[in-house]
Amino acid sequence: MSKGKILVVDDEIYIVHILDFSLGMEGYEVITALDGEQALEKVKTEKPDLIVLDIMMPKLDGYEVCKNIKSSAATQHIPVILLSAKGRNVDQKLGFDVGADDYITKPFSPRKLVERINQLLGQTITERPAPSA
Amino acid sequence: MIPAPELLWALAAALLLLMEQGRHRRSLKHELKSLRSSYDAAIHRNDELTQASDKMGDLYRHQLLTSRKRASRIKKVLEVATSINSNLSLDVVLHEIVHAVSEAAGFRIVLLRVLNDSSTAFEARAFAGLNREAIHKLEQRPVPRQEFESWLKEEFRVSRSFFISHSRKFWGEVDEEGWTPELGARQEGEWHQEDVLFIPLYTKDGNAIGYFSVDDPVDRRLPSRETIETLEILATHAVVAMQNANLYERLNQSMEQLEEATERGEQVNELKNKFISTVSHELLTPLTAIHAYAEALLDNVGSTHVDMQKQFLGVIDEQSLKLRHLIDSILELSQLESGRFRMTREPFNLASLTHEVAAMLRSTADSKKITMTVETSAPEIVIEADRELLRRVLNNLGSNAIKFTDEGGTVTFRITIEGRAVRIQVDDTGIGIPEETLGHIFDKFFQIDNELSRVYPGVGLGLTISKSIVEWHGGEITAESEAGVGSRFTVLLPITAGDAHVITHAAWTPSRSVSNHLTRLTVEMIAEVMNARTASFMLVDEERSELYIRAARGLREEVVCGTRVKIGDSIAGWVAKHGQPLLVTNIEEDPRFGRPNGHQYETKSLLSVPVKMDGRVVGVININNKISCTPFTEDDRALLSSLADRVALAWKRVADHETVSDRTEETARALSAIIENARRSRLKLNGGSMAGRAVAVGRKLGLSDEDVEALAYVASVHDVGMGQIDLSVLQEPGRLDDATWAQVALHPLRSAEIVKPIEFQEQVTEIILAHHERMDGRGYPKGLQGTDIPIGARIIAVLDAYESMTIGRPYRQAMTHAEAVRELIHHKGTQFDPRVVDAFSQLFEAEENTKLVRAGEAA
Repeated sequence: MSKGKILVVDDEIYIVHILDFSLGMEGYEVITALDGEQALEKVKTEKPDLIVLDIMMPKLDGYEVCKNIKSSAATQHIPVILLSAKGRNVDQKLGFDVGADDYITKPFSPRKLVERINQLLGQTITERPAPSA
Repeated sequence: MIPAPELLWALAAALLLLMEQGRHRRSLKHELKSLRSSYDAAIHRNDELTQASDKMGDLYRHQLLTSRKRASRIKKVLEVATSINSNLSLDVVLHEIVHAVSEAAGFRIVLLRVLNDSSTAFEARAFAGLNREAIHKLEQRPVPRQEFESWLKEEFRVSRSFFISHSRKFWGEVDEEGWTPELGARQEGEWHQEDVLFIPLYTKDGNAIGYFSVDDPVDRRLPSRETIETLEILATHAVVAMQNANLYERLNQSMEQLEEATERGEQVNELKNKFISTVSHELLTPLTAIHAYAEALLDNVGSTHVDMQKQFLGVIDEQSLKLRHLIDSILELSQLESGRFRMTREPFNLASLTHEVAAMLRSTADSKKITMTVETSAPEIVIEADRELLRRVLNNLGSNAIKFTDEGGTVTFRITIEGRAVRIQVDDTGIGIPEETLGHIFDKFFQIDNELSRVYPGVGLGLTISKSIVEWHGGEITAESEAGVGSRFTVLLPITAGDAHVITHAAWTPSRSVSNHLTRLTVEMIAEVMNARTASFMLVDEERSELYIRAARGLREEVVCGTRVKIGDSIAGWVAKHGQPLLVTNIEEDPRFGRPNGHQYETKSLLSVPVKMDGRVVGVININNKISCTPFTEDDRALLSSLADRVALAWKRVADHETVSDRTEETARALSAIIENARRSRLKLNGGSMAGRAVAVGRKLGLSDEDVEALAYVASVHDVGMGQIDLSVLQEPGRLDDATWAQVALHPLRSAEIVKPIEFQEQVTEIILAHHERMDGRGYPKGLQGTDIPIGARIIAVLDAYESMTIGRPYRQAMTHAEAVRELIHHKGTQFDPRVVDAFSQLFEAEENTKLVRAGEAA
């Protein structure tokens, strides 16, 4: 029984692989996307419980993807963790401005990322409001 | 009868009476006489008085008139003094001064000369009452300071001014009233056209910064002291106004420079920041993978998943290598770009190097079942270059080709010799490069924005480095591609260093955005048009107040890389400092540069001109070693100045529109067309250049300096449009068919179109367009008539015809000079402007004789 479905989006294949491994070990089901457009499609079709999102990607960057997710009623409840090598304060602020729930800079610790995901999913499960009629 | 005593008494009494009466009458007469004389005297005195009174009246009237005149004159002087002082632009001030002098002092002609500190001559800068031709003549002839000082003789001095009379008699004799108080003396007091009156403009510390001279007084009289006083008051004001304007101009200049420097500093910072953020992102990517995989391994130390551990270690290893490679590449690139880089050129066999590189790549190609071949036009192709650097280029191009080619494709290296260059071509049957990105593949880290990087990993610096290496060798690299069909990378390298246009990669400059390609074309264009074996383009490094060589042809690398000239030092430094061209006919004899001839110069003559953007010197163009081995002339100077103006314009346009590559392309096209045209005409020309003839004819017809320079330029480029016409049709005898004729008729339009990106003078375009028009209106393309055709075009028309007649065609024998001139004269008025034909035939009357003599000498 999976703890939840997580969408990992990164154009760097090694990052996708290692997250697949680490989250898989933790009992999550992992689905992946290699660019922004693919990510939005997977959000629609797979309805993940959480999204780990890189920022600098071809086609559509992470900010755009996040904005898109957070502006649609069907998906805005999905927590988004931005995972990026862009480490400046302005980059982080922009991330939170487009609705990200957390911002983790690369290089990162997979262990800590998993902890953060556990935390966020625990929170969101308990705090998620009852669907309105 | 005896008179009675009574009678006697009576007689006596009568006698007495008579006597008394007589005396009385006498006295009356006397009285009357004296009365008359005093009457006469009174009348006379009265006349005198009237005369005196008249005289007094006259005198009074004269005084009144003079003081009125003086008052109005003083008023005028004050007015103009205020007006010249209220302006801050030097040219306007000078203009105001001469007109003020003309008006207030009553001279129709005024000339103002200003001392040019660098040339130490007084240059004519402002004029009143002179026509264009006279102005031109005055401008042409600066007065050297020595000559000016020789005029300052005591015997010419009047107050602080100097009057040199046509006749010695008046020297130093100006009186209070001038020379014309009485009518009788009028003749002598008249102004003579050869009289000279000039007023030096002294600064407070007694230096003459200029002078004005006056002529043609309104009253036709020699100047009175009063006039001279007026002139001197104006002179004092003029000095102050000129110094103010100068100060203001200098202030403005420094302000502008300060602003520019600030702006440039900001731009440099922006560039640096962008580069650092890109580099750090690129470095962080492999580091992220290494970190994540290492941690995962650590967390699973006890795990039995040996395969997983192996795989993770493999990723770490691979990413470490990538990191290492990335760091190496960045270091290498920064070295190449900093200009601190030295390469070692040595002769080696490029064919065998290519085979070596191919052998190294063989295993990768084999693993993808790619057929790799090497074709060389000869087993031994020896070039002078840095062998290791070229290995990098070949390796980069080869591995790229393999990387982007699918299984079963082919990769081919082709090495061929093309004239004095070698062509390296690497073809593949790979996925190709999309058209929209083809222009960016040589940019740093270009791959990062490309989704292909995932499938075809790489650092994204390989092509940038290759390009840098090729350009260091004075070569160029280009890419062509068709998506899905394949790509072709072509490198053209000069075979020997001597043929190279060595490019240095300099620190940031205002022309940073001007690509090396464009820089090389610029130098090449200058060398070709000027017929010079050596040409160099130096840029100003403002921080260090130095000049360095941005690009050069015909100079050795050590010279190009090592040359740094202080602004103000030696020739180029002088030109940069003063912003003026310098023509040295014989460097060994020139007192300004008495020093031994540099080993890089074969001839002693050289020419150096400034390149100015917005009035500021940004660089210097130098040429040496005319191919004809003759010294450079003033004609060459005019042409080179004209080229320098266009180079500055082109560079500025490109620099202003960094992001628009169209500008770079169209500018490159214009330069290439001019280069080609210059080469074509060099093949044709046997004697003097057309530009030289154009300058001579232009000067003879009294054209201004600016017009002459433009004309020299047009003479060098007016037929660039011919390059697009299949020349073989022109080589054939017989009439041209309609289609060919249409092509030929269009060439002026084509020429104008091609040079447009580097043109700023409307007259140049007009001359190019109209150089095939005829006086009788039967020319092309517009059918203009007579003086509707610009004078420049009428001149070019004659020179063009002369040239084509004396050169001949395969089917028509070349005419002699005399025959050609006869032909020109025959078409005077119908085809050609008679004035131009006359000027031409007079100027070059001796041409043929000279040529014969020269030929004799050579033999």
